[in-house]
Amino acid sequence: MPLGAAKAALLGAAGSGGSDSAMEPIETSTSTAASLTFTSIPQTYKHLWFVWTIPGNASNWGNFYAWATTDPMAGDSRSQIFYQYNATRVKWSGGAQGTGYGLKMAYGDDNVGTATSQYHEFTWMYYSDVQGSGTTTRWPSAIGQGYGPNPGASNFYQYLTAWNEYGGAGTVMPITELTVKFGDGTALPSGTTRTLYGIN
Amino acid sequence: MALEFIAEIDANSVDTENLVFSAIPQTYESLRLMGVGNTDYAVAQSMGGTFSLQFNEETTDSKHGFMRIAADYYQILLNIEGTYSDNTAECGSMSGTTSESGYYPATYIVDIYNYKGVAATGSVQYFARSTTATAANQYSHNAYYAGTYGNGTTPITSLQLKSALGNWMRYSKFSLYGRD
Repeated sequence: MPLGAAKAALLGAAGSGGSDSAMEPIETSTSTAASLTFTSIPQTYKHLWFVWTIPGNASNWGNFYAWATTDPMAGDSRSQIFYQYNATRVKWSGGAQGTGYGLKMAYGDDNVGTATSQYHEFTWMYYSDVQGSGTTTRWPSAIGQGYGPNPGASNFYQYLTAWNEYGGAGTVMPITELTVKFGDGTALPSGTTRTLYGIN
Repeated sequence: MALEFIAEIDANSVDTENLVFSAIPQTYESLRLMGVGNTDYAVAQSMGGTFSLQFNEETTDSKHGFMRIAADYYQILLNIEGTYSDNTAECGSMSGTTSESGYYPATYIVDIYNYKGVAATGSVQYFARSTTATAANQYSHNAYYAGTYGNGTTPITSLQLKSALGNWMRYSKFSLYGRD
């Protein structure tokens, strides 16, 4: 059963998890594969919240990428990342990456030590709305933030990022599928946890 | 930490300058505002649009204040060290109607603390994050805001979301949550 489908089956058409909390886990994965796709995402929530923790390791992983359906992203998809490493603040603006990468979401610490971890979280607002047109167009968007501290060495990272799509062939509302990927495809360390939540 | 849905507001029926949450429950430790929005104003570029908060819908009290750190398309903006004694509290930006042939929504998360007017914890405070990325990135931004409102011991029971330049366009939508 694909990721997300199990929760969708449990929720059924009513979309109620039986809890008073507005936040419910849709799927948690401890896969160490660099890329992970959530499919059959329930359309019963207002927002999606994704949380990713990666334990420290001597490997070189690089950056964080994401896409909703197509890869690479359509030509009108863009992201901008405001990040800080050590004492330097930097802005990065860009669009579609090469095949197999999607849209760059964050600069990660590519020299994470074994005594620390990385944390990333992204929120896709009103992901299940219809797309519309003109001034009522609801193009998909997301906001993300995270950090990669590295005690005892250089390369502290933190960032705030924007993810938007507009009009191209890959633009989809509502969002039914999300792929998240770290780095160049190298397997991640044991203990990596990726969880997708729904917020009512 | 529990997250409970309180209410949702939008500009779906008509473009509007102000969106208002009223009768905010006084039973939570803090509030979280989440949403998307854009303005019908022809923003010049980058962070030309302004999204502001007006606590208790006060518009003439000069008790709001905020500061900002951000990146726009061209550069890393210098800190806005603080605007005080203002009638609104800035908490975000948006791209406007001329943003490279599209209506790119800005995405917002705003956390609000000390909103119940408890003397021991001081005035209401907020911490906001606002982002957009547009086709040529000329209207993109990533911004953090922190602000306050001198409510003293007066509880915050309503919250006005103001599109300072023009109106919120019709897909703009916000949800308010309470956190225990």
